[in-house]
Amino acid sequence: MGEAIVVTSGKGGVGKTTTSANLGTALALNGKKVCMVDTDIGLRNLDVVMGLENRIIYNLVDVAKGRCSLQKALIKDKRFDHLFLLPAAQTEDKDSISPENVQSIVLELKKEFDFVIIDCPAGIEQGFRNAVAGADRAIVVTTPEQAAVRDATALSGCWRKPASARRS
Amino acid sequence: MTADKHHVTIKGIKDGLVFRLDDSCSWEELLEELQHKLEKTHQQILTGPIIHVHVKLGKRAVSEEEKGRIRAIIGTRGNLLIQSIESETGSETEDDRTRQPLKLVKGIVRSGQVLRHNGHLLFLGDVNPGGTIECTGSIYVLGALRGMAHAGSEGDEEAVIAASYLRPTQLRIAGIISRPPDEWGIDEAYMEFAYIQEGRMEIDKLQHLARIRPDSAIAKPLTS
Repeated sequence: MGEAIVVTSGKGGVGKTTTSANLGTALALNGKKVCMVDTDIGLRNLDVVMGLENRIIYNLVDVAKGRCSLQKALIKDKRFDHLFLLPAAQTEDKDSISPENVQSIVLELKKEFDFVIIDCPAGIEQGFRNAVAGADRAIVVTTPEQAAVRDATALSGCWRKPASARRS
Repeated sequence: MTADKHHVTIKGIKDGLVFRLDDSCSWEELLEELQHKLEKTHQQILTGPIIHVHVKLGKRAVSEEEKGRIRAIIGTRGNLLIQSIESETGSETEDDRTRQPLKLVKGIVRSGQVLRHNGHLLFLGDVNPGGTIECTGSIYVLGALRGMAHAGSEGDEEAVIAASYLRPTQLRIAGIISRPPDEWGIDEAYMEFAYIQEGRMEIDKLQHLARIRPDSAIAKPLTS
């Protein structure tokens, strides 16, 4: 059973996607089997950063809605055989999936991969709740700016709530 | 062949049977269903005395060769005798029948937006990366196609995708998906179009469109 790590920040533009991409790549370089999941529906970026945009056929929402199998939606990285990406949908609403959907998808991925890296959208709304649903732990990214640190702190509080709710 | 399609209706009249063949579906589909009905579901009419058959094709105009195919299917069934094959539009030319209006849309398709159209589309403007155009027919872009384009989205492999500047993130025609650059050889991106040949997507200069798809602007009726 692998480990699911969500990369989150609260504030936008501090480097969540960059961190996710680098973390996933570094783990893959170390011979781990890694799957990156982009949960930023509507504003997906991880595929662009990884240079895999033009390979997207199915996405997270397609899997959640049962329009395709999980295996079909995974995109293999150009450079590493053990690195995969599950892209977000670009043309759907973020309410089109639920935390339960993400949780079951991440659980499924954990069976096969050593690490599941979940790239979280900015903010603490539905998209955030979706992203953290299946995660075992979180990496909170911030920059040395007051606003970014403030958001990171605020978010740490939000993170505990869904986590404890999940356990009960 | 699914059971919910009813392109062929068979009715009894005073002096025989009328085969009413739907005019909105594809020709091949029609023949397939006709054959299916005669062989599988309506065998009972094939036995007994000679029955006169009138074939009504609706608004579909057919050539003598195509009529011959109907005769071949119905006529080989022993007791069925074709009396007439009629369509309501004797005077219309083949072009009038197959010509589909080309819908004109102006604007810009940005990332995250999807432009959908039923039929052929002429789009004046750019399609940015992350943006999508999806049509049941062909797609012509007067502008830069940098996003995704899906032509023949209901399975029409004759559909093409043409653009003044063809640099898409991904192209789809019917069920075939392709992406640049590793699958395409052409460096020049000006005035090109994509089409399906033998199950593979090919890219060619726009001036060859007339040769490769002589009837692309007036493509066949859609099989909707």
